[in-house]
Amino acid sequence: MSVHGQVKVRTSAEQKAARERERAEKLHLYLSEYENILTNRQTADPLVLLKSTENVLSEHPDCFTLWNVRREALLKIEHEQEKDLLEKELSVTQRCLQSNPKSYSCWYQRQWCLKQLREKFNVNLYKNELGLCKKYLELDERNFHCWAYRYYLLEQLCPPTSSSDLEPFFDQELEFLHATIGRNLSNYSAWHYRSKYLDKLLDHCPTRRSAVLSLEWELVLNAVYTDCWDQAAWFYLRWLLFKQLGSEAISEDKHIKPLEELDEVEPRNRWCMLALCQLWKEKKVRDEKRKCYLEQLANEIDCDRAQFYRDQI
Amino acid sequence: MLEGLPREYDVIVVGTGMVESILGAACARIGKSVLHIDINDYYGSEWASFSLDALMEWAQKQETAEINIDPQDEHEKIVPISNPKDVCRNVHLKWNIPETTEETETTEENASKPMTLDVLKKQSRKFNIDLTPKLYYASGGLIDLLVQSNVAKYCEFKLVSRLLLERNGQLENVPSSRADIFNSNDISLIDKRLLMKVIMNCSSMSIDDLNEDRNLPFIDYLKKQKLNDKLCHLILNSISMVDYTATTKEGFIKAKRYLDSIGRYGNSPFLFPLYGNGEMTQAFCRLCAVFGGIQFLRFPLAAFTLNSSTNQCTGIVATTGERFHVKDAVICNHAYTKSISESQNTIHRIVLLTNQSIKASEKEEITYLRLSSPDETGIHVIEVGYGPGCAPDGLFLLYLFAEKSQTHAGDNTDKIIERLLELTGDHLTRTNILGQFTFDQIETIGLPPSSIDKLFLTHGPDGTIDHDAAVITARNLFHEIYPNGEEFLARAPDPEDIIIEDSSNTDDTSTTNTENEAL
Repeated sequence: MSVHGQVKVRTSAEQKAARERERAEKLHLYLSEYENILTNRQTADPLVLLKSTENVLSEHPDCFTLWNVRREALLKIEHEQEKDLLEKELSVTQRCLQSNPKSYSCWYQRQWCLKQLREKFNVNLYKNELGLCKKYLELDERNFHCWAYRYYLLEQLCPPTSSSDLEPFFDQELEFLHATIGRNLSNYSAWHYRSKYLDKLLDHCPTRRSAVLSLEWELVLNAVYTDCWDQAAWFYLRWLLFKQLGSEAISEDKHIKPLEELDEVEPRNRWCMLALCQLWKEKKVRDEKRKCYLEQLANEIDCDRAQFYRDQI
Repeated sequence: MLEGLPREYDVIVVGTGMVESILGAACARIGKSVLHIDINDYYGSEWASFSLDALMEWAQKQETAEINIDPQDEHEKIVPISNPKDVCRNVHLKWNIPETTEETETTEENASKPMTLDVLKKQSRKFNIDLTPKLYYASGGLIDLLVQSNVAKYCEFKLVSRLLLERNGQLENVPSSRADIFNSNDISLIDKRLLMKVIMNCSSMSIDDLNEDRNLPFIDYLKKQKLNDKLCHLILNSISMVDYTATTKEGFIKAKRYLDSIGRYGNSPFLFPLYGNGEMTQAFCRLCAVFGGIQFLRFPLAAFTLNSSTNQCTGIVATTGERFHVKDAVICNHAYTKSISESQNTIHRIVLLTNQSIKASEKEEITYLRLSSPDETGIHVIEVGYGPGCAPDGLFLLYLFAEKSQTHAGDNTDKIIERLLELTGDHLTRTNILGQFTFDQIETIGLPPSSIDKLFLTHGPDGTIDHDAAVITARNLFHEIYPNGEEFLARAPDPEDIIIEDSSNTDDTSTTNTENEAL
């Protein structure tokens, strides 16, 4: 290389040493700050505590004790300042979530803040929170913390049973979940919450039952045909058949036949075989074949769960 | 102007096409002294991108004068160069819009004033028109090389957001991911399963698992998997992107690469460079310069010099008679030698400038479409617009070219355009085509290597959609020139790992830090 100064590149050993030094420094800083906060926990001014814990938490968001300190501090502060500080708390957790979007403490803290603000219920606040959830789900659609938080928010925003807005509210959420599944049909959380909302919708509007379940069946059948190895869709399928439709509503033509066809194209698929065995049992048909499949599953295909299959024979 | 330029080098690279630029960078990277020249006043050779003005200038072929250089002594032999621009023939630029607006135009009609060439020329710099448009597989040779060598930091890319295929006389989206297939309303449940099965196999099976099937024509293998005609065509044309004559092995390898590429940077397997393909050659030239290579455009090159007794290339000579010597190699594009007259294969390239996309969309798209049928070779169609910085807002560049070169120079421009217009229907018609630019590129891949020692000939582009050939040739030539296990384009160090130790020149305060900053 033809440059005037001597240019040297760090070797991997030197790189490692540099990294070690950095880490040691960071650790030292963290420990001393932590000590400091704990010693002054009871005596220091709440606002000071909030400031110092904020610094540490933005880099180390999973420190439970420091979040406890923050909650204590916030509760000590007088009422007028409380609302503003709680809203500011939300932005603090947001910064912390950026370094770890799956931090139990951060999500818990957000929920805690909303609960504290409950007396001053603000629809916009909840709508903003929903927007935040959407963003985090876009980053990682399987962030179960975010899903659970979203569910909590929707519970709060849910119109009362008497309201005419309730049905569209459920329908809207089901649309959202449909789109999520459309992007990635392995999303177990999406299927799971879909089952919850479907339940609620059908409880509220029992007249729509057969139409809705018919569409659901088409959706989940589409999913298992597209990817017959993805368990999320199969779990939903079995829930739909046995917990929603029930024995009476299951038809050989509509439900059993398509799965039998799938089985022909994809033999030895444990999910399909299991679903069929359970269906055949419900409708009391193809007993011999059922027993044969269960034996196969227990002995060859899914031996880890052999007893589970044998129990069903 | 050549005074002050050193005369001795390890390597001289002639031409700034893709293969040459990669090689120049690779040689500079291992510490060799490199002189990288081009007789043009732009980078890229046949791979260059042009603004509208530059393209119009390029379209006017200039003849170069005959150069006569005498050997300086009885040991030297002179091999004059050919005009490298000869590699592109039959250049035609046709406009379907008036040159200027009529002076009698009233101001109320401003809203519906037709586009004129004047207006386009004013926006010349917003155009980046590729002579050789290509796409980049996210898991392909060139992207891997860009990432490995860190040249990637000199360029930016966008995803090719829309992949189309021809179905029922229309243009439709290609379903290739699980989500696409799940959401499709056109495919029956059983067909979805069969299609997914084949796709999963292409991704997960190795070529060895194919056994006897590997030499079967791919179309027959697909039929064996019980896929109907429509789905066979989907996989063959839009996922593997091979012709109907391809073997299963070929189809598999390409399908694998397509499927592996989806998801690496987004929901599409292809990337397209911001500001056009010409940026790529410049990125490699930049790396060459950072590692000490000298770049010289508009170099007045006359000929190569040979040692007549050893038949070894010793360097180059400028029209002024100044000679530049090499120790290891002169790397040069075939286009500079007389050998191109031996090649008969040409790639016919068509560029249409339109004011309407081939298919409506709510957002900016980069579109790729492959047209084919059982008895013809694939035709690539790439559309770019404002998004990747290749055209002004509202205008589009539509590139069309056949994958396999033709031996006969028959002009099927109109036939290809007609084929496309049939599919676009009312959305895009002839009136939307503002300009048409066509030329023939002589294919120099497959021409024999030079018989002169230390003279290494590279080649120009082919009709494929990717850069594989260029990367493979560059790597092979590099190992031929430096066969002692030198690393090909090793990763450049990250800035924070560089320690600058001041040498003992305490009086030299004018250290050139620009090179370090450029790193």
